[in-house]
Amino acid sequence: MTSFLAALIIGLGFGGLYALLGSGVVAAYKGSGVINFSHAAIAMYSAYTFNELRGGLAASSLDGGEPRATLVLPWIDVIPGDTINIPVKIGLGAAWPTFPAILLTLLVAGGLGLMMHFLVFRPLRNSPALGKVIGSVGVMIYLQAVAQLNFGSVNRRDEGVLPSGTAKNFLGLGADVGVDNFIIAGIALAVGGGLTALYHFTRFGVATRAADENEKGAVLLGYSPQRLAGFNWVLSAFTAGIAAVFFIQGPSLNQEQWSLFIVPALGAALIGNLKSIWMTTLGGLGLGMLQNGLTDVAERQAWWHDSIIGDLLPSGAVREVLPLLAVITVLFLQGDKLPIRGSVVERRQPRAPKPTNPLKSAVLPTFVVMVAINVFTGSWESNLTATLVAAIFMLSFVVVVGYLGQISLAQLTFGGVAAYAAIRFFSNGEKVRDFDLFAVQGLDLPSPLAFVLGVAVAVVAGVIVGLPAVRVRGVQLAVVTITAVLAFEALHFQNAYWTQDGARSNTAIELPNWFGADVSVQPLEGGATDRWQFSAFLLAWVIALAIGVANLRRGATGRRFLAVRANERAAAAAGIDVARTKLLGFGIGAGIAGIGGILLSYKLTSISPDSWNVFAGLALLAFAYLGGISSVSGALVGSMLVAGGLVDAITSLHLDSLNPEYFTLIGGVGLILTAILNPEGIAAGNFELWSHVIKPRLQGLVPSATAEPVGG
Amino acid sequence: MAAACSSDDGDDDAADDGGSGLEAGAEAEEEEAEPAAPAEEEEEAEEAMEEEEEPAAMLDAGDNGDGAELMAAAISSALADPQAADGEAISIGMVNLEGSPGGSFPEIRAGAEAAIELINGSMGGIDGRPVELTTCAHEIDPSAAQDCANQMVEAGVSAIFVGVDFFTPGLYPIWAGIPVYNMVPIFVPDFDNPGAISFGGGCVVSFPGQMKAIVEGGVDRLAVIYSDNAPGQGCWADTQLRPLELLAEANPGFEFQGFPEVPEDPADNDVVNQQVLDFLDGAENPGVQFGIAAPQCAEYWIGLREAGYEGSIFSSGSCDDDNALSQAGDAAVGVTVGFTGYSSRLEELWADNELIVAEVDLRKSTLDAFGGDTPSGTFKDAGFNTMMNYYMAMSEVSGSGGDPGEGQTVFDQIKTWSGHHSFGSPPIDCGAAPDDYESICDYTIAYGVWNGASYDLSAEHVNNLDFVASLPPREG
Repeated sequence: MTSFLAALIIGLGFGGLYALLGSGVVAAYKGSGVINFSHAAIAMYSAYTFNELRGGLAASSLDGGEPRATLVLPWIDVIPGDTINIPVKIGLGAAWPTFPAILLTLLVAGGLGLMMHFLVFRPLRNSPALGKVIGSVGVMIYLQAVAQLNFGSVNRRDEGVLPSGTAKNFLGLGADVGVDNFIIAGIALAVGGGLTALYHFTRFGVATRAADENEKGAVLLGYSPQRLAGFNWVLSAFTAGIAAVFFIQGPSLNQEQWSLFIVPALGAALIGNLKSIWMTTLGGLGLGMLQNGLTDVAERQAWWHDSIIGDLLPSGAVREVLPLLAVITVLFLQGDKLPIRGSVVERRQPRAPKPTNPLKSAVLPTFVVMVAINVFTGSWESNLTATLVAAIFMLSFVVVVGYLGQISLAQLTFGGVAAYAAIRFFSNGEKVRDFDLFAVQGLDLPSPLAFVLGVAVAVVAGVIVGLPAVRVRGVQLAVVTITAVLAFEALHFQNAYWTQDGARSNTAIELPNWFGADVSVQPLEGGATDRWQFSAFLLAWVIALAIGVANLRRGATGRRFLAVRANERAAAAAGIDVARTKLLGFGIGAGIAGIGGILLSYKLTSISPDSWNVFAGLALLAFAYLGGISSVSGALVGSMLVAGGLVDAITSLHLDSLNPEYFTLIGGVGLILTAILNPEGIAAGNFELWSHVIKPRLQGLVPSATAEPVGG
Repeated sequence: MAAACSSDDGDDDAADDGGSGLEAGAEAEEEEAEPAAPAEEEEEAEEAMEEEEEPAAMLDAGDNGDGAELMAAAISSALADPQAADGEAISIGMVNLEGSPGGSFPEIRAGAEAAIELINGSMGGIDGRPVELTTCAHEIDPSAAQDCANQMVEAGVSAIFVGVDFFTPGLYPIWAGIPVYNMVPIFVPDFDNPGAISFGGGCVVSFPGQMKAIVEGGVDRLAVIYSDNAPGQGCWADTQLRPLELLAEANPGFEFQGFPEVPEDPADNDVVNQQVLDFLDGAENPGVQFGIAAPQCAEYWIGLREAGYEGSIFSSGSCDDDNALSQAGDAAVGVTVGFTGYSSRLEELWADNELIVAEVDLRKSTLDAFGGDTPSGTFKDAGFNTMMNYYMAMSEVSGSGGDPGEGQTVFDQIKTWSGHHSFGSPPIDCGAAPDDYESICDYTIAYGVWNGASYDLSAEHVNNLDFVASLPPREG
């Protein structure tokens, strides 16, 4: 018990971080109606800024050189040559003392908030929820890439500004507790209290709350919702800056780790109902403490780690599961009370055009890919199969996000669920190859049967994750699904109870054999992963699923999906069972993603939990949106854009020495621009170009045989 | 994340201008910008000769094994008369893990690329033929790793060098028939793959010997903190747990326990530290051994010391990193680190060995000039040393009339090495290891204790081959 209490107290440090970040998420939501998935990335960039001002890597070098302060601005110099340069790194002399460095860091954070408001979220103010989510994901991708380019990939440590002493045997609990934990928690409480007071007792706060509850009413009262939003974005970014400055002495500084703090921060924000900063602060503190406390229990208590509880919920998974539990509990208790901001004007959802003749439309792409399969070898074939696998995941996004209007960030995870399940179904307890790390015990079922069962498991997972969608929609659902991604990763993929020895490593896949045909990607004796049989097998799946999804849109189910997407109340009034329709959509989407997941495992020959991580899932959603998330053709376009896909292969021909982070950065910017300028994606733009420009001109050049006779 | 592929051949940089990799930083850059005229080159070479106390041609190969004379001559020649290579390129490839918080090792690639600059720019390549290094870096993403593997096959490289990669078991089948050289071997297939070679390093060298030394040093309770990811688990199960079980059986008073640490989860540090301290509570002579990588080492050194732990701390060379040591500050003082080879950190080991002094100096000046801004340390040296050993093997093949561009021929040559010189290291044997570890060439390890500014030598090289061979057989 004493160790549990001590662990709870030690968790105050991380709890303070979650509270600070959660408060910022709520401030941004109050001001603009955006759940900012990039909020922790702002903290990450601010932490690097602070570190650079205090000397950066040189400050922690053994060479003894004098550390220099550099202000690194959040962009890159895109102008080639040295004649004209966009300033990026500005030397500021010797390393700065703490206080000025804190001030400038906060200024940079505030500037980031203002830039996000003017460049991204103000233009997106009338967009549907999906557009705003995509915008914030785009900002996160951009900030990660620009940080990687400007600061490098070497993990950094910064001694921070807080004292490093410990309270020995704190309260007689037998543990030494770092005093910085108390200070961070204190700062979080102070910031939370200050923001609460600001929103309750100032004219600005009251106006923000008014705009939050009724934007039209605020306009009528003479307030500018966009000006209020701008101030709130700066305020929100300040909280990220404060978190960065005072938490920097904690974990190593790197881009991904810090960006992932958004997940518990979102959990804290939902505990505060996306309205109450104070409850968010307490929720964040509680979340951090519980994470630490329960992890300690799971590690120490035999009744936990030696029982089925420990099997199903190992200590390493506690941290990831708690935010999900918090989110689901909040949604269950008050999902229908969560605020959904009403904009003055809301732009319509992306169009989901009804396919006219899917079979006919499939002929040309099929022919082209068949030719490619016969022509390509080596890495080109690998790029082609990466594109085909991605196309299947994109189709699952089309069903769930494009047709049904539910923002799911978990489609790649469903693929992982299916892949790991299928491996257990068809493994026979022997190593597949001599080089494999582990043999996997399984039921030794034939490949097709294991495939079907694996997909069935994914469908069940999809329906479970979709359950909260019965009560909530839009951005709240996005929060559920992103927490679910991390929970699945910890509970399933990294859990040896389910995935055996490969849980934290690589799990090999049996060579798939479908009714006597070897459809594996690699010859048994080894060599490049470019067997045409696998490519053809993939193509068959893509064609079947593309036609299936197109027909889904044409049928009654597709119409019900669109009705739910457009207006749930109207759909219910029209006799549609909204809950059933949502779950059906999640099930179908998860099933398609499951097929993609198993085929991806065939391609990779061995999988690891990292194959399905949250950033890879976000990237897939991003490319699906870029291509066009509400149409089959959009899915196919999006699939070509993925890392390792065909566009990547083509650009690599000329830009093979270019840092891949430039592609990531361009992807982030492209995503933001697409969300603002062309939310229906590239495919829709091409369709417009074809139907309104090219086709009429062609028809003008070639008189139609069925044209009406002109004149007498 | 897509894999990044690039090529670094002998036609650019130093190779083009005939500049030497021996000049440090700014000088080398200056030369790249403005090629020196032959007369100027001669003058500079003369100046360099004058600066040296003894003419470079006098380098003594000493007692450094077969091949030492070849290397001594090559270095002497490079110092006296740097030659750029300009013949038909020999194509080799390198795959490395970079850019992920769970594992990023750009310094290994930087070390290897610097060696290539030296070979092509100053050592005249292999009989005039430059070495073309095609590199492919990827994040912790099996798909990107596979993409890199396919690119190597497609590029037609004669040998593949792997820095650190968490996916090698899945990549070996793609590379069937192409020799593989692991700079930091991790998994069982890295140790017992008949188609792979590791000149040194890796957990199979670092950990079993260190466990033995720890127990022999009197530690009665040992906590091992290891990374809870693929390489961490692999190393724990194969090279830490197995020797510890053997040692615990032979030493009834000795206890140990492993503590997994998730590298991507900074929130678990406090809990792990507390559990370690609880386990060690009451031990007469406690010890903590680290099976984790540099950024985490600093976090745990600080955490343990702040929590009042005063016992011994041991780690492998994976914790030896300028940034980690500097960030940890006083918390790193007293940490015992195991080093393979003649680490530049332990000068006492090789201060009297003329060839090794020259090699270490050469490595340092080359890394200063071409090693980029990645932190110095064991991994960077490993990348450099591996390439220099391959240079030696190619030169031997070329000298005996073979084709150094034939990867398998070079591989077969290395497999014959017994008591052979290894760049910046004690002599190695590449065909003597038991089947379980047939890919590994070196089993020696020396120890240094960090004093806040440098390492104090605490134990000279010990060969642990016999101990490794005595480990119980692997399961599964």
